[in-house]
Amino acid sequence: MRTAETLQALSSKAAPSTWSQRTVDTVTGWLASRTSRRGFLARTAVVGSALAVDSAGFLLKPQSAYASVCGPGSTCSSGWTVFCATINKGINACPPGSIAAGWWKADGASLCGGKARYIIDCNATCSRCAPSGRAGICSRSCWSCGCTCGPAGQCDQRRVCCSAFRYGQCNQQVAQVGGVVCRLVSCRPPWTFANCSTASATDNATRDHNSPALPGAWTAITARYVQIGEFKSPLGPTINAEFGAPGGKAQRYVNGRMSWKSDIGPRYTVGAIAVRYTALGAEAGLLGYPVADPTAIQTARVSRFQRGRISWHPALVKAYETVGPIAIRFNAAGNESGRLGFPIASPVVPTDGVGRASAFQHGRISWHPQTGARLLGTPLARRYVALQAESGRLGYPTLDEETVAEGIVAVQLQQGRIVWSAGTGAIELFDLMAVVYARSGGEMGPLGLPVASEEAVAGGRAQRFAAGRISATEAGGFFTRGPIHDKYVELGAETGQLGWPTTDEFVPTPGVRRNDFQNGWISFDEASGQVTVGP
Amino acid sequence: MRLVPGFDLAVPAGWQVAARRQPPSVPGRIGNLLVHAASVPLPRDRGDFGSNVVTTLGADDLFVCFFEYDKEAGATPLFASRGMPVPRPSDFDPNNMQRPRPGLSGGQWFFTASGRAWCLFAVLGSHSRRQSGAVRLHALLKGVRIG
Repeated sequence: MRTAETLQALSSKAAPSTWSQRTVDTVTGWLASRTSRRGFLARTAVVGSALAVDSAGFLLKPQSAYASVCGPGSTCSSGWTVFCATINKGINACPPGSIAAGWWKADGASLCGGKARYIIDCNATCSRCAPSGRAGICSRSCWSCGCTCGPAGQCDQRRVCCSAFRYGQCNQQVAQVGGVVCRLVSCRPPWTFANCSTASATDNATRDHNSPALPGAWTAITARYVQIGEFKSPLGPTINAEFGAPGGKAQRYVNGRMSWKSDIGPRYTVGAIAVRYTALGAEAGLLGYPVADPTAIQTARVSRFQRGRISWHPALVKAYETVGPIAIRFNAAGNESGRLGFPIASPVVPTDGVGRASAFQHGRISWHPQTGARLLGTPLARRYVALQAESGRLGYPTLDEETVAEGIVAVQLQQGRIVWSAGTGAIELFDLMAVVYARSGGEMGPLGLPVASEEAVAGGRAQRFAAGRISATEAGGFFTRGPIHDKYVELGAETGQLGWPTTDEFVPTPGVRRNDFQNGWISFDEASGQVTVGP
Repeated sequence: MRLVPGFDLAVPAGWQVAARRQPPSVPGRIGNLLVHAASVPLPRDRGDFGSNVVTTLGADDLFVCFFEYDKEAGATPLFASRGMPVPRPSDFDPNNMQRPRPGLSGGQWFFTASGRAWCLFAVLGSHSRRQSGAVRLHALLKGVRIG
């Protein structure tokens, strides 16, 4: 398709948003019919960038898309100097062994939203000699680098460390520097982020110079980046150009990432949070797109996403995510400022492979589709975790922990219960023990609080309480308490002459309480205080 | 000839000269001075260090730029040299330019004069004729007064 035909196609094609976008669609459609998938993807990216940087030039002048991406004068013989991003692992910053030595601006730059675009020279240091001679540029033999061209395989072939020139506004405390290694670009004045003075120099001939490793257009992401401070923002310099993400776009930075989706807008993540977000698959991962910029909580930071959040606290070094129903429950509990504090680990998948759990500074949230997301504070959570938590005998909590009475907290689980008080600590009741305990009245009943974990006894298990005992076998579990319990223990309890209880305490006649056992009974007369063992 | 207050230049015959104060980068400050002199016409869309001019130089032509910095720069090591520089032919090199072009040769000198920080940048149309180019530059500099 020739240029004229391309333009005709543009005018007849309904839809996409911008002229450039429509052109990309048309040209890439043509490419798609003539190339492999891999080649097509690579070429469409180049064409898109070319049109964003220099739409008319790319369509109307005989030149390659590569030339348009990098702008005019991109060959080594052009005499211009390469961009730092091209030779510095995609990073738009002075590489090691160089310093900012001066700057100029190009006015009316489309790459900076029609405003000035600033270009800063990074000059080599004079590391191979002691300073001598007049100020400005040291002898070439002293430079920390040698003259070469931009790396092969991309269009920014401009010179590296060749030109002995110093614009002179930056690092004036350094009398001598070497040649220009590379140049970085900014849409904000250099004196706002580097050790440079305000003395303004202009060269509009460099307005459209660019690199495939730099943002190729003024986009919502770039505009937001500039708005929040660009180099001085928490994100630092860009790494490579903006790229497509599922349903949106993304841009990497030395200290973070910016994600853009049309219905959300540009939002950034930074530091340990960005590292974790990327590790989780970023925009394509389980969290989806960030829905807000980071929020500071004193020295900590939090980022919210479509399906969860990532929290970072300096004391914890790493950042951890909370996702889905757990994130919703966390939110209901006040998030990081609430009772749970910050997450201290990423969610774990218990051995059932179904549920999820997140540990926090002051507790835990466990989720299973049958129980929902349930919250435990630290005392209960600590014991729960010691018992293998969701993967242990107790299963998942079926309710949030509850304050039973002042100083007493308990949580009900699928196969048991954990009870905590300051005096007893956290003690669990498994299965039948928990059922019998509930039958007896629980924490507010006559047994009082558990004082020890259950113990194995020949033929069954037993657990001690403040005012009694539960004894359980395959046949069932029963509690004894008060004087009856004391007598039972005196007689050897489950392994004594009476054997295992076969009933809970009951009232055979008013004023008398009694338990039956495998080999007898014990009664207690409330009026006389007499304890009788039978038969 | 007084180009602007504080900068006089005796313009040689056949030369074109332009001087202006740069728009101040910081509101409220006085813009720094920029002086261009060339033995060729000065196009309107030239860069401050001579782009779009130096490519038009013939072998015997010369482009000269005086670029002024913020006043406080005068106290820094880069501008430690006092008074108008005395360029030597050996100071010129084809790579001493923002954008080296075949045949051309550049030279750059940082200095302080009358308490003001400057860069003198000169481009000769021919590196091989730098001897005569340096002589022409000297002649021009003789007519410069900064004060």
